[in-house]
This record gives sequence, structure tokens and C-alpha cells, in this order.
Amino acid sequence: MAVQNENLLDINGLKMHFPVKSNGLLRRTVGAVKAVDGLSFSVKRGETLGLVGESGCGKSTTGRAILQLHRPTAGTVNFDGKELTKLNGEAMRQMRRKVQIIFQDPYASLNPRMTVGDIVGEPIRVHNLRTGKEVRTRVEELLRVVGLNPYFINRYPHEFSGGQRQRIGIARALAVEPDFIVCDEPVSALDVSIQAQIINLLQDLQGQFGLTYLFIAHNLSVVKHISDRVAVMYLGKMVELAPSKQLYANPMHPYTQALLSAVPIPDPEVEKQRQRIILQGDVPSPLNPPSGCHFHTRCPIVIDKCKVEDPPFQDYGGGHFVACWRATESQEQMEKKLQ
Amino acid sequence: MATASNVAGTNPAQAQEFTRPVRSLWSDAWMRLRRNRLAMASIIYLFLLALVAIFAPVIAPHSPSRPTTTELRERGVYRQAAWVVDEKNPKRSGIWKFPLGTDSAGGDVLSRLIYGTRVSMVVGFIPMIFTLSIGITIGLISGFAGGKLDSLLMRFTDIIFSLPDILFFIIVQTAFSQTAFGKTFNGLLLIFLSFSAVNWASVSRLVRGQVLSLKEKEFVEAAEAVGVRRGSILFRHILPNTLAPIIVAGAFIVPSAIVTEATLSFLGIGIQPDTNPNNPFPTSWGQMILEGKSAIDSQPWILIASAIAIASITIAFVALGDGLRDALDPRQ
Repeated sequence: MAVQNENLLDINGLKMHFPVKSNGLLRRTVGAVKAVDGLSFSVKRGETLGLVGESGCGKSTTGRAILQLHRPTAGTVNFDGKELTKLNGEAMRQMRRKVQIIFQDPYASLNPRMTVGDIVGEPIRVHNLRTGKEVRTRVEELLRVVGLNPYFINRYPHEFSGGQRQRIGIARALAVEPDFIVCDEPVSALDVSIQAQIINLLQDLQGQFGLTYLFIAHNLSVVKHISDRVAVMYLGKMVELAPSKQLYANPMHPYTQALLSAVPIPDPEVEKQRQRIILQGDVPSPLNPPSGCHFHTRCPIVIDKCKVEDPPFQDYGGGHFVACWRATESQEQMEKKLQ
Repeated sequence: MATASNVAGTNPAQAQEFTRPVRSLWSDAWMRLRRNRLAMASIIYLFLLALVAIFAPVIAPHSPSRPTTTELRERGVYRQAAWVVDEKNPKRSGIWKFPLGTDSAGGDVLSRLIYGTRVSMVVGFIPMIFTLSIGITIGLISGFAGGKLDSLLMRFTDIIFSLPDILFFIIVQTAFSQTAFGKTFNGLLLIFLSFSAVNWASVSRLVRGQVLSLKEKEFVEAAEAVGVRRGSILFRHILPNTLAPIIVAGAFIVPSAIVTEATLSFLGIGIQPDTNPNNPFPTSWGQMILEGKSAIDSQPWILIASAIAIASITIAFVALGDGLRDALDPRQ
């Protein structure tokens, strides 16, 4: 047997541009929304990679591009030795057994006209994993695994709460026995108390089935809890990627520093002392991103070089990747700015 | 799984509390429809009319077609409705043998009215099926395929949509009514086809819109991510979710088809009157209105009875359509 690659997923130069058409009869392409603009990263077997960033920075698009739900404009997505962007038809369908997704909105992600048994059973039937009565047995087993009563098998989605629906979505993803699951903000639409339940469930399942997660979220404390490594995105690009502890303790990109300073601290005394870095202005349009470093329009410590040259996504030691010209001195400079 | 066993409903003992019938969205809708009195009254009324249409030969007291000369002598030329007394001409006073009187040729008005139900029922339902079939097919293809095919089909739909209906029907009737094709089922086939040929456009627009919005739903993306084939996505995930508005549209097509037939028959270009007593569709309400119009002074009941019949069946279908819309889409 060949030695298994440490990385389950290798992504190189991933770009996802959505064409913008003119309204006229000819519908010419007049531009492109650069939702994801050149991402390179890898996900190790069995780890959880957290992916954070504000709304519209391309997190979800990245997840969907990995699953080939959107065909990437450029770049490679190598999963377990197979190039997903080149797969088509039947080969792609087979591949879908290995890569699954859990959606953000548990109300939109379940077909309202199908019973739970049909929803969770569909992947099993599609891939012929079980036949006849065994499908039902397997669905009941999956419901038990995600903490639902198998008695609910004939119920319809509208009869469940948000948290229960999210469990049904997780059961559907597990039905094909995948290796890798993209969790696209799986808890953003849930109550805080339910969020913890779902996160614990996801962690239990990871241990039980040896899953690898790409965990997309905009809540930094949730990501900190579940992730081994965390990546921060801004306007279609990755600005920082580091082991979880290191990123939170020693953020090197000014954007990450601003994000972390916005996390409230659950201790009123300390919270009072918290210094926030307030970024000026809005996120520029992905239709026409700024030149050089995409963040330069809002960066408190911008220098002239940032406006012209795009900083490389570079390892500053211990797998701490940053895309910033001033990575090594950024903390010091930010301190100065704040005073 | 220790953590999960605390979740409500996992404990089998608790499950007993949940023993209530499973309710799909369809059974939910049916429950709501049953609470709508107007809609339920309409359903009962339409059901009775359907029985009248099916058992017309049993129910009708006389033959709907014109009597032969010997019968004519017995019946008299025409009679008023049963409760009307004609003082000048006692032979024309109503008798209960002909409750709604007889027409100028001696045909029994009530029997003709009963047989007319058949035409209205058939003319309501068959074009609805044609219209929905064409509309759903085009709408599904257009919405699901997208791109150039979608633009092409939608421009074609726009053209059909912009046709002036009545003018189109009149042209078709004048062109084909004397051909063998135009005479099939007393000209009913021609009415079915011409009605469906222009009315599918609104259905296909409706279906396309539904498909376009459903295509972007996460459950469709989930099915794609799981590896469900495109055909199954269309028929298992998208089509069942478009059915509710399609059913409502169908309920409104029926009365519109009934009124169209009545209008054409009133204009004298609808179904063709038939004297053959074995013809299952000898007359229609629209035709009776046409006849009743010229006899409005002498025998107002021909007009009144057929007008009430058309109005009531139309109102019943519209009320049912409204009820279905409320039942199927409680959010609106």
C-alpha cells in the first residue's frame, strides 16, 4: 500500500469568478464578481480547518467550489489524489460519496415535500449503498447517530425545530460515509444553546468516523472551539492561515487583529479594558477589487508598496501563513496607531 | 452516544407522547381546505353537477334533441315555464310535464339544460389537462435548462401570450369548423385545442418562475452534492414543489374555459347543434343563451336558466380555486 498523503485536500490558485451580463438583448459579459480570487491551502487528514471572514468575502463560495457545485474559473482542487475540477458525469457522481456539505439554513436545505426517511435515504439509494429494507434500517441507524429518534422517520421537515432539522441535514451528509465534510456555517442560523449541541455533535462524529472538516463560520469563538487551524479570508483572498492557538495569540495580519479585537470578552471588567480596532469604510466591491493588497483601502498601517504590489501568502514559521508586507512589524505598528 | 441521548425524543418512553398522525404538506392543505365552507360547498355543488353530467340520460325527463313532427303536435309549438299562465293562448301555458317549458321547436328546456352540463364539464376539464400538460412541460424545460433554450422558449411564450384570444378563436372556428376535424365531437375538439393553444403560455411562465427559484434552493444543491442525477432532481425535488401553484392555476383555467365555450357558442361559432338523439353532447348552455336571447320576451326562462347555470358553475370553480390557494399557500 502506498503511503497516504498527509493532506486530504490540496487547493492551488482557486478562482471563482461569476460573470456579470449586460441587460440588453446581446447579454454581453461586462465584468466579473471575483468571489474567490486565488486561494491556495491544504486540509490535513482528520483535522478541522476553520474558515472565517465577513459576509461576502467568498467563504461559502470556496466551499461550493471545492464540491464543484460551482465549477471553479481557475485553479486545482486535489482531493485524495484526484483532481476534482477535471471530473465529469459518472466519475464526479462517484466522487460525491467522499465529499459532503452541511448547509447554513436548516429550513431551506431540506425538501419540504419529502419525509425524513426519503431525505436521509436518498443518498443511500442513489449510490446503491443498501437495498430494499436495509435502506430503512440504515436511515434509522443514522438518525440515532445524530441524536434523533428513529420514530421520526415518516415525519416531514416542517414538523421539526431548527436544531432537529440541522441534525437531519447532518444525517444526510453522513449517509454516504464521506471522508470530508464542508460545514457551511452550520450553526449560524441556530440559537446559542442549540449551537453548542450541534458543535459537540460534529466533534463527536469526527472522532467516531474519522472525518475531516472545512468549518466555515463568521463567529470567531465558535471557530476557535472546533478548529485545529484557522484561515481568515478578506475579499476573495486568504490573508492569514495558522494553527488555531497561534492565530488567536499572535495574529500577524492587521485584518485578523481587527477581527479579533471585535470579539467580546465574557468578563465585564476585562471587557471594559478591551481596545477595539475600528476599520474605516466598507468592504470594496468584489466586482472591482483594489489594486495591490485588497485590504489596503482600510488598513491602518498601509504603506505605498501595499497599493501596488500584492503581498505573497508566505510562511512566517510553524505553518503561520500571512499575506502582508508588514507581517513581522504589524502588531507593533498597530499598537502605535491605537495610542 | 451519551451527549445525544439527552435530546428530546431520543428516549423511547418519550416517543409515546409523539404518537399523532404524520402530516404531510398535502394533508395539512386538505385540513385547511375542509375548514373553508365556501370551498367545500363549491366542491359538493360541482360533484352534484358531475353526477348530473354523467347520468344525464337517466335524469333528463325528455330527449334533449328536437322532437319529430308527430311528437311536436302533442307537445305544442312551445310552452312557457310550468308556473306561467298564458291567458291569450292557453295552449302555451306551462304544464309540469315541461318544468322550464319548451323551446320554439318543442325541445324540453330542462332536459337541454341537463345535457348542457356535460359540455360545460368536459369543456372545463379537458382543456385544463391539455393546457397544464403543455405549460408544465415548456415551463420545466425552460426553467431547468436555462440559457439559450430558455430565451428561445420564453420569446415564443411571449408571442403566444400576446395573441388576442377571442379573435384567435373566431379565426380558428371560421377556418376549420366545416372540416371533418372541426366537426369532431360537435366541434368540441376544435375548442379544446384552440383554447389550450393560447392558454398554456401563462402556465409555463408560472412553472418557469417556480423552477428558477427552486433551482437556487439549498435542498436542490444538497441533492446535487449527494450525487442525485439531474432527471431525479427535476422530478423528485423541483416538480413536487411547483405543484401547489399549478393546482391553483388549474382550478382557474376550468371556469375560464367554460366561459370561453359559452362565449363562442353564444356568438354562434362554438359547438354545433345536433339533432341526432344519440349524440352525447347535443347542446350547450352558451347555445341556449343565444336562443334565449331572441326569445327573451316570449320565454325568458330559456335565457335565465342557462345564464344561472353558467354563472353558478363559474363561481363554484373560482371559489374552489380561491380556497385551494389559501389552503396550499398559507403564507400569502
